[in-house]
Amino acid sequence: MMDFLNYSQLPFIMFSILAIQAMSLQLILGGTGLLSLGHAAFYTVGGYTSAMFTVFIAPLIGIHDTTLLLICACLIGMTGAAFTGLLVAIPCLKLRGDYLAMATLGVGEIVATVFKNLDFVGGTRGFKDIPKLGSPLLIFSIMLVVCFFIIRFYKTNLGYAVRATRDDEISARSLGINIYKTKLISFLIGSSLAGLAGVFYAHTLQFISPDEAGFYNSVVLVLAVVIGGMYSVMGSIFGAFIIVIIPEILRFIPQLINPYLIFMSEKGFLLPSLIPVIDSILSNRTLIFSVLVVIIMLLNPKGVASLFERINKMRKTNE
Amino acid sequence: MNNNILSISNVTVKFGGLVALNNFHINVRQGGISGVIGPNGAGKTTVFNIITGVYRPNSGSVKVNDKELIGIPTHVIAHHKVARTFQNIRLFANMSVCENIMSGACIKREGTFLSSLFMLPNSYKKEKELWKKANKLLEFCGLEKYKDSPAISLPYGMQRKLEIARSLMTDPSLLLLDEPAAGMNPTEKLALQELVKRISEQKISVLLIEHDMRFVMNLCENITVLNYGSVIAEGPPEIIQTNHEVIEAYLGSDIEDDFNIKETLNASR
Ligand SMILES: Nc1ncnc2c1ncn2[C@@H]1O[C@H](COP(=O)(O)OP(=O)(O)O)[C@@H](O)[C@H]1O
Ligand SMILES: [Mg+2]
Repeated sequence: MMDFLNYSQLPFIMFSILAIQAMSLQLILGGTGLLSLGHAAFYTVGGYTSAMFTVFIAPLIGIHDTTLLLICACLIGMTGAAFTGLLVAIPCLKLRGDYLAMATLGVGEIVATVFKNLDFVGGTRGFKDIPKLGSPLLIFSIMLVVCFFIIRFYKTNLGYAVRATRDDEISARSLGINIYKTKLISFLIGSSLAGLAGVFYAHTLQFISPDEAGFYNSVVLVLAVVIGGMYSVMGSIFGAFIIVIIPEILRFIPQLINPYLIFMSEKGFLLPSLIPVIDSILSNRTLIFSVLVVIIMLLNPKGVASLFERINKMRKTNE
Repeated sequence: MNNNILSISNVTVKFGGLVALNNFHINVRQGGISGVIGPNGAGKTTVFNIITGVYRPNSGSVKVNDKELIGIPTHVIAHHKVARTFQNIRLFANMSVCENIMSGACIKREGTFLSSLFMLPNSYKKEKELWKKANKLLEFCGLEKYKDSPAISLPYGMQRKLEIARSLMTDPSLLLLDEPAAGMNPTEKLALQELVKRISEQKISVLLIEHDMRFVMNLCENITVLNYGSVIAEGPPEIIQTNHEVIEAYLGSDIEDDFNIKETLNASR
């Protein structure tokens, strides 16, 4: 039992952090309809700024209490990420759809390059020995709070404005909504929440690397949002869960399947030389993972959230 | 001080070499229903677009309640109590019918973000009032049945009504309807006619664009006829119906509505 707990702790933390990130992107992507392909950048900036604060500044000004330190780290990480978000948003939000995606694509690389060239935070080797703050349970609770916050957000005037802007900018304007301001606010909230996830990442793993800002992580986030269903916050949590859990499950698949393969080759259905090939395909987690994502998208383009909707509908018609 | 809610004068709009509106003018009386008619491409929608600030005219003036609107951005014009619908329906496709209507209340809820985020009593009360109003509008426009369905799942005629309900949610004093009866069958058109009448009874002035002559003649107290961006006739329905230029403008085009005007003319003889 202890073994399982130890083994599952890291995936659990990664799930909670990824869920916070995915939800923060859901606000921008599903909520506001802005395709940002550089979302991992804000998360990295959040991690780095809070780490710089706890490593270099906190000892100088004499903050030793861990709770206070964590609160300060969160605030500073979120501010740093939001500030970066603002720098990106002001020029980019004037662009439309595809162009916004192109512009944000560069942001991740810029952030990665900047941190790679800052030697006092470890340069290309990454920022090491960040003090440990927060617990898995705390991160999980923060995730729930963020989820609740976003659900409530959609019910406020800004939430309605954001969704109206996503669905039809011209209509939204004619109803009195300032769409530029609306997009800006959504981008700011989204990037600061991503920064929050970054703070917890840096302070639980006690390490953050500039490569975190790269394209791959941003795409994983988009996937998490899309798998779960663009328009649902809960869906993003589910998407994050899938993304963390599937590679963990896939780890065991070659072991499970191998005996059958050997059995089949003994019966002569399978060339023995194919076994290593199949083995290596099955243990290539990224490959299997990508195929699974494609299958999910083909079966259900609206994401998992639409399944819940369908079930709800079925229940209603049954009543 | 006059009692016109909308007065447009000397407005010219050019798109490159094309003159979409040429020295256009119109006055809409407070509480009245006026209409703009004309063949396709005459510049009717452009009139709405300059009132709502989508395009900026090359010259002229647009006054709502004696306040000059030219140069003011679209979202601010909504604060001057001007609301509109669109010729090609523009609903919020991923929202339910209710949510579409509530989106119209964004200006009413401005500045309540934090208090409504934390469900503080004052904004809770306000939201409740707005929901009550939204429900009233649902009923008013005959949409109760569709309350929670996605907006785009509605039949065409209902989508047009939903757009009207959404724009009424902003509490306008001037409502602009761009071809509200387009694509409706005769029964739906009659129901819509009643709806527009009831809207106008609530002290909301209406300016509408419509091809269906019977619809326009029944509702409007004043009609402006556009052809190639110029006003070729204006006045009460009786005068418009017998105007030669108007008949020619319509006979010159080959839209189905030609039949409508002939019918109306025959009926009036
Ligand atoms: N944004 C635009 N750019 C160029 N031309 C336009 C634009 N909007 C409208 N027009 C032109 O202006 C003329 C009037 O259009 P419109 O007002 O939509 O006519 P309608 O009377 O059918 O509503 C048309 O010839 C149309 O092609
Ligand atoms: Mg038109």
